[in-house]
Amino acid sequence: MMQHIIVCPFNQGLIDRLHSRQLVIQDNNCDRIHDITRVGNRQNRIHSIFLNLREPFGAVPFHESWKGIPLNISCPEMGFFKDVAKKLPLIKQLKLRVFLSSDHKNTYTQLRILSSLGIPCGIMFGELPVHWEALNDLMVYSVYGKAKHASIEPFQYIISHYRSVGRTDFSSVYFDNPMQFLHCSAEGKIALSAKDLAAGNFISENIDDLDRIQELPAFAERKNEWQKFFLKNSICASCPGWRVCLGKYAVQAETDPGCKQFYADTMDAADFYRMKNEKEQEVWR
Amino acid sequence: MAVIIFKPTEKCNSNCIYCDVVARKDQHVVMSFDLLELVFKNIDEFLKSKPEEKLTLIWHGGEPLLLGLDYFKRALEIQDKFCLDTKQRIEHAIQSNLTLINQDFIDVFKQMGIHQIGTSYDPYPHMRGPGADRDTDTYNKKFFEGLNLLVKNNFGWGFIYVVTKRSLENPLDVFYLLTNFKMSGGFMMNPVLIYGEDKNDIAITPEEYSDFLGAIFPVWWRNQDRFPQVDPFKSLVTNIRDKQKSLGCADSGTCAYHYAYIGPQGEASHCGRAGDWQIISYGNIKERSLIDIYGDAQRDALAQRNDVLSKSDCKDCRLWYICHGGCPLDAFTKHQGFHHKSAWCEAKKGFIEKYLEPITGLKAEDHEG
Amino acid sequence: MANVLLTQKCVRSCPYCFAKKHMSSSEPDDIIRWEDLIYITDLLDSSGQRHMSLLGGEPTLHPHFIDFVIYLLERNFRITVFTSGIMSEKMLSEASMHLSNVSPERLNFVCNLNDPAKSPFSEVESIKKFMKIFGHLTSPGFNIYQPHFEMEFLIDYINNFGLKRNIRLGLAHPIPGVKNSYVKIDEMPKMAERLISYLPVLDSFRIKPGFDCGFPMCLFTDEQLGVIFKVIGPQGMKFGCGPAIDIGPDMKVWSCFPLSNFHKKSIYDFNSMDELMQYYQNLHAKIRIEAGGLYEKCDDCKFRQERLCTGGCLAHTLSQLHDEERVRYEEVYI
Repeated sequence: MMQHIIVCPFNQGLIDRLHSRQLVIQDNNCDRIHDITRVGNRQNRIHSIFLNLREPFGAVPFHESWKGIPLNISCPEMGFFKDVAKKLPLIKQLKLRVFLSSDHKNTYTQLRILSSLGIPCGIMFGELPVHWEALNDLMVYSVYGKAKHASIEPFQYIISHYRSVGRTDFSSVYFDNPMQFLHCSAEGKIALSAKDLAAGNFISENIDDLDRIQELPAFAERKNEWQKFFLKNSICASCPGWRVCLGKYAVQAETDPGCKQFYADTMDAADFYRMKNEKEQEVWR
Repeated sequence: MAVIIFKPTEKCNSNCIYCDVVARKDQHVVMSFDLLELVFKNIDEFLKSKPEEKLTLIWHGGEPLLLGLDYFKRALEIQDKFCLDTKQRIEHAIQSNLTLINQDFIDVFKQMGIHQIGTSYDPYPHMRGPGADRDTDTYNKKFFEGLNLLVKNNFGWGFIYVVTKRSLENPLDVFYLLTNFKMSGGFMMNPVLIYGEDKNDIAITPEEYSDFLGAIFPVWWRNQDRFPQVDPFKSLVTNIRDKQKSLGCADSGTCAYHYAYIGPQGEASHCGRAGDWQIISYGNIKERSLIDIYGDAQRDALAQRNDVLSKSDCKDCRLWYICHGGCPLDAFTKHQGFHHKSAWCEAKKGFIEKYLEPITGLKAEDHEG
Repeated sequence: MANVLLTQKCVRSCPYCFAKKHMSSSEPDDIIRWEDLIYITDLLDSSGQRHMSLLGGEPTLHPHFIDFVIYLLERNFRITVFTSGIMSEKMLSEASMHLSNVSPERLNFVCNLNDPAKSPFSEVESIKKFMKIFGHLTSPGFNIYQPHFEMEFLIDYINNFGLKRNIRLGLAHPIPGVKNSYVKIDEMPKMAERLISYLPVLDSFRIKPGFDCGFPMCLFTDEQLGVIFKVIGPQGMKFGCGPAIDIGPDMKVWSCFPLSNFHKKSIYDFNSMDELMQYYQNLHAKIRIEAGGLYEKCDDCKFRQERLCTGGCLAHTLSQLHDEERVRYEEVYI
C-alpha cells in the first residue's frame, strides 16, 4: 500500500512522532529554513518545505545556504522586476518553485516573466474569481511556447500526468490530493485536505492511524467523491474539461462557466504534448 | 458460437422507462431448479452433439440478481453435475443493473468464470428507478455502490445507453457525461426500440437517431484517444476504414442459427427481444431439446433473408455489407414478416452519408465484392 | 534581428521623420505589453536570433523600459536602443543606476542627433545629460534630409562625450502619402558631394561613418567611391535596401517605417522570424521586378544584378509610382 506524504506545520513535537515518512513542512518564515531542514530530516525525509510568505518574491532574502533544499514558496506577487533580476543568478541555483496568487492582477504576466527566465513557478488560486482568459493565455504559453522556459504549475502537472482515459487531479501540485498527501495538525489529527484540516474535519484524531488511513470508510468515500457529480447530475459531469478539473469550480460554474473552455483547451494541450512526445520518442527509437 | 439469452426470472427492482419486460410481462415467475437442471442437461446434450461448438449463457432479465445468491450457487452445482464433460465449453455472462450486487455475488461470479458485467446507465432523473416515479436518486446511489465493488474486484464492465427523446435536447452533453462517467470507454448508444404503443413518449425516429449521433461524431472523431470504444462509432469506423468485420447481431446477417432465448417457464424463442415481444416461438425446453430449438425450421426463414433482401429492399445498397438489412425483428415490427429491411437502416445510412463520410473522408465500400 | 516599437509617442518632431505616417495613424498611448515582448523574444530566440532593437516613438517613454532591457539582457540578447536621448531626470537616474555598467557588447544606444543650433535648448541639454552617462554605449546617428547639411556638431559630441566613433548615416526618404523632408533625386549629387567633403575630416578624427539603407551606388562617382572605400572600408559601403522588420506594440509587422502601411501583417501569421523575413524579402523581390530602383537605368544596372546595389530606397521608388496609372502588379501600389 502506498505510503502517504504528510503535510504538517513546523512543529518539532509532531515531527518527532513521525518516522520514515516523507514530509511537506509548512511555515511562513524563511529564517527557519535550516531548522526545518534539520528537524525534518532527522527521522524522516523532507519532500518539500512550503513557505507561505507575505512579501513579494523579489523581496525574499534568498541565500546561498538554501541550495539543495526543496522549496515551494507562495508569495502574493512578484514584486519589482529589478529586485528579482538582481537575485536571478542565485535563484536559478536553488531547488525552488514560486507560486503567485491569482488574486493579484499582474500575476499572469509575472508568471510568464519568471517562466521565461527559467524560474519554475505556478499559480496559487486565491479567493477572487479566476480570470479564465488570462489563465488560458498563460496555459497556451506554458504548453505551446516555442522558446525554452521553466514549467508553470498546474499546467506542467496536468500535461505530464494526463492520461486521455483517466482523471488527472492536479491538486497534487498543492499537496492536496488525498490519494498522495495527508494533512496533519500540530496535535496529530489527520485530515484529507487543507480545507478539511482548517475546518476541523478530521478522518482520524490519532496519528497512529496514518498507515491505515486507506482502510477507513471515509477514505473510500473521498476516493469516490467524483461520483457525486453524476449522482447530482451536476453541469460538471457533462463538461468536456471534467477529467482535468474534476469539479473544482463547480460552485462558480453555475454563474461563470469560464472554466469549461479553459479545461477543455487544457485537455487539448495535454493531448498535443503527449503526441509530441510520442513522435519524438519514435524518432529516437 | 451459440448464445442463449437466459432469463430464469423477469422480476426487476427497477421500472426503467424504456424496458419492454417491465412494460409487458408477468414478472413473478422464477425458473424452478428442476427446470434449471433440464436446461443444463440440454446444454450438455447440445454441446456433445457439436464437439467443436462453444456456448455462451447470458444471464438476463429483469434483474437476474433477484434470483438470489443461492440460485447461482445451485446453477454451478447443476452445471458441475450434468455438464461434467462439456462445462469447459460453457461461458457465462451476465447483464445486471448492479443495484443488488455484493461481494458474495462477485465471488460466485468469479467461480462461474465471469469477470465482467454488462449494465446500462442513464444520467437523467425519472428514467430508471423503482416505483411509478422512478426514484433515480436511490437507484443511482446503489448503482454506483455496485460499480465501486466491480472496480474493487477488478471486474470489467460496459454499459448501454438508450437514446430516447430526452437525449435529443443536448447530444453533446449526453456524450460528455457518458464519457466522463466511463473514461475507458466501452459503451453503446442504442436507439430506444418500442414494440407497440409509445406510452411514455420517448420514441425517436431513425432520422433523429442519426442526427443525435451526427452531433456527437465530430467530437469523437477528433479525439478518439480520449473516447475509445464508443459504439456505434468504433465498430462503423473499424468496418469502413480498417476493413475489419465488427458487426453486432442485428447487422451481421448471421443471427439465424446462433441465438436462442429461454424464459422463466422454459419458453424458447430466438433472442431476448423476440422473447420479450413474443414474436417467434420455438416451443418450450420442457418439450423440445436445445438441439431441436437451434434446428427449428423457422430459422430457415431468417437465413433466407440475406438472399431475399439482397434482391429486393437492399438491392444495390452499398452499405449491405455492414448492415444486411438490420434486425429481422425490426422488420417484423413494421411488416409482420422478416423479409424486409429494418426501418433503422435509414438511421445508419443517414448517419454514414450525412456525417461519417463527409467528416472522415472515408467511403464505405463493399470489399467482399 | 527585429525592431520592436515599445511606444508610439515621440518627444521630438524631426522634419525628416520616416515614422511620421505610422505614428500619425497609431494610437499614441499604445505601448507594448510584457506578454508581447516575451512573445517576440521567444520568436527570435527560437529562430536562433539574439539581437533586438528597441525603438518607438521614443522607447524610453515606456514605463517598463529599464525592466525590458534588463529582461532582454537576462535572456542573453544583445540590445540596440534607438533613442533621441531626451528623457526625464527620473528615467535618466534610474537608467544610470541599472544600465550604465552594462557591457558595450550587450547594450548599444543609437542616438539620432539633430544640429543643436537648430534644436530647442532644453532638448540639447537633455541630450547632453544622457550622453554624459551613456556616451560610452552610444553611437550617434544622423539623417540627411537636405543637400546642404552640417556634421561638425557630431564630431563635437563624439569628442566631448566619448561616444562610439562611428556614425550611422541615414538618407531621409519620402514617405508615400506624407509630406516629410527628404533629399530629392535631382539634389542627390549635391548631397553626395557634401558627404564626401566630410570624409577626410571624419577620418582625421578616426570616426567611421556607415551607410544605413537606401543609398544608391550610382549616387557617387568612381572617385567618390574610392574615397568612401578608403575611409569607411568595404564593410561600411552598403548600398542596400531590404526588409528591416518592424514590430508594433499591436503586434503588427511591416517591412520598414516608410512602408509601414504596405502589406502590414500580424506577427501571429508567422511561425518564425525566418518565415517572416522570407515573406518580406519575397515581396521586395517581386516588386523590384516591376520597379527596379530610383532611376530607370536601375532596371538594367549590372551592379543591381550583381547585388552590389539594390537601386535605392524601395519606399522612394514606390512613391514615384504613387500617382501613375495602375498598369503594374497591384503589389507595387501603395
